[in-house]
Amino acid sequence: MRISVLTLLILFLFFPYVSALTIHGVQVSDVYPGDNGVILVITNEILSPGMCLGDTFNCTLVPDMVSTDIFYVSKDGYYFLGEYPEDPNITFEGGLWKLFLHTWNGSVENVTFDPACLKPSSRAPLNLSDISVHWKKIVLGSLIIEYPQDFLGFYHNSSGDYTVVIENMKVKKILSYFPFLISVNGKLYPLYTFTEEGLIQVPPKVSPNLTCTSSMSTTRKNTTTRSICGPGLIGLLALVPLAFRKR
Amino acid sequence: MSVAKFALWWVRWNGSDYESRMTVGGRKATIGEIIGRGFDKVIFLGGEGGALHHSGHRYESGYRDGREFARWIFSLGSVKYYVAIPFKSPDSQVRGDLEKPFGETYWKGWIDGVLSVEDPNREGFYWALENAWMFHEKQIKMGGGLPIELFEEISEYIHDFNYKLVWIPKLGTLYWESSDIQKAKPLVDYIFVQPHYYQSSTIPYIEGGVTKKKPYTFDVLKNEYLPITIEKLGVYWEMEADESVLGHCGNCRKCPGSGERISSECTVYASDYMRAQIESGRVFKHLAYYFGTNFEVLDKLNTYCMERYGRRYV
Repeated sequence: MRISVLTLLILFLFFPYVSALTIHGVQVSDVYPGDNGVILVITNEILSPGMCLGDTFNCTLVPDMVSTDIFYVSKDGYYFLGEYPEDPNITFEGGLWKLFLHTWNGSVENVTFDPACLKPSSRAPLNLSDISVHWKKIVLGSLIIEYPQDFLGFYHNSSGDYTVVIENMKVKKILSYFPFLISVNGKLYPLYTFTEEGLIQVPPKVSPNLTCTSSMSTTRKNTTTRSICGPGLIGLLALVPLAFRKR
Repeated sequence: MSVAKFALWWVRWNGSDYESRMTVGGRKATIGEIIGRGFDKVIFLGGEGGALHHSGHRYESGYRDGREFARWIFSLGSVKYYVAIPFKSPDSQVRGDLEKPFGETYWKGWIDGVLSVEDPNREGFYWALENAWMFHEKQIKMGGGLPIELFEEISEYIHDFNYKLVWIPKLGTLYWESSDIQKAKPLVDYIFVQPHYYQSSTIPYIEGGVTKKKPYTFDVLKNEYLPITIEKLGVYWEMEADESVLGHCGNCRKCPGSGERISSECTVYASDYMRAQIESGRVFKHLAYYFGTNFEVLDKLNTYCMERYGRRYV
């Protein structure tokens, strides 16, 4: 997976003006450990050069869209808890996660998430090696989770898909494409797949509409009761080999 | 408030002095030539600050750098203008220390340095950071934002001297609600959003609680983006174009490429900003113009819009 300086030079020489450059960038921004798993909060941004003269790869990237994705990762599987316009406040008490969430319609919600109600998900690990990024490790008993520390971006041009490392909102390095992934006890699983629609979250969605236990949820004007829990058929969701996507 | 048309005038530090990047007919353009093209105000900028001299992070450096820039602008000639307040350094870092009280920051120094050069043509300042989410904590951590309290102090200080403040954030999305434009609005006199229609083939939006993208068509620009700008945000547009309309690729969505195909397609995209206003019957009272560095871009678009819509681009 390593890419040589020569390859990078060739990329720059042959594609000096990838002007309609849109990069989907993701980075783990916060990690909340619980008893048996962790919640990963991920910055998700659509980026493109702002006002800029010349080679777009030398331009500063400016967001077109910023959002926050939340995932839960345990030894039983990994789950997508949703995409939100702002960072949540998250605490872990008595085996339950308390999430204070800003929603897209402007309201805020207090949600309780019980990981015990999740069904184990069946997943196949990716067969990738030597991913050239910096990793960060979390150890929870026998569970070891690693995730890329870098702000990684994904873009497509006529020659294919690329992964880039972004530093100070500029493209620092261009790499061959690999998905944004995590390592769970040494095995790699994708959190996103890159498609023409953008970055799509791979893990099964824990839908707020699938109520399994009650909890309090507060909006600006009134108080509602709901909970979030996993879909019952997570085991059927063998979505993992998405690294080899087709256009 | 009278009608205002702002031209973006690009400048760079060459290592020993400032130089203008604006050209026409293969030579350096003059201030008189921008006034002659219908502009009444100029914004002097160097991107988000990367092309402007940066001698250090402290107040004293800011003062020196700001004064140096103001003296160079003063030497150019007579036009009403706005001076950039740079946010980024040439190596893409944040220029000053966001933790310091405003009075000790690089930015206070920069403003004081500019103010130390008396110039009746100066109307105000341009906040150079383009990030529409600049007050978000995460953007601050990533070097793309600043605390709103600091921006409030910058704004207040500028207004104390009866100067105006301009901001041109990039908003290439239909999901405007989470941006910081509304928070900044009371602090800024003119906000022009960058629609990014000229540059991007797709535009993000929110559906079912997740971000999606759809083709950024003329209908989306006219029927969705324009009403958001006017009705929801109450701000103005930046008109976007560059040398691609002349056939030399820049940041047009149809690049890379060159020649007549690029020229004609990018000219249409650039002129669609005007067409959207005409067809919707909602013409912005104030506009800012990003047109690269070549005045011939404006000439081409003026001719095209006169022929097509019966009015000039500027």
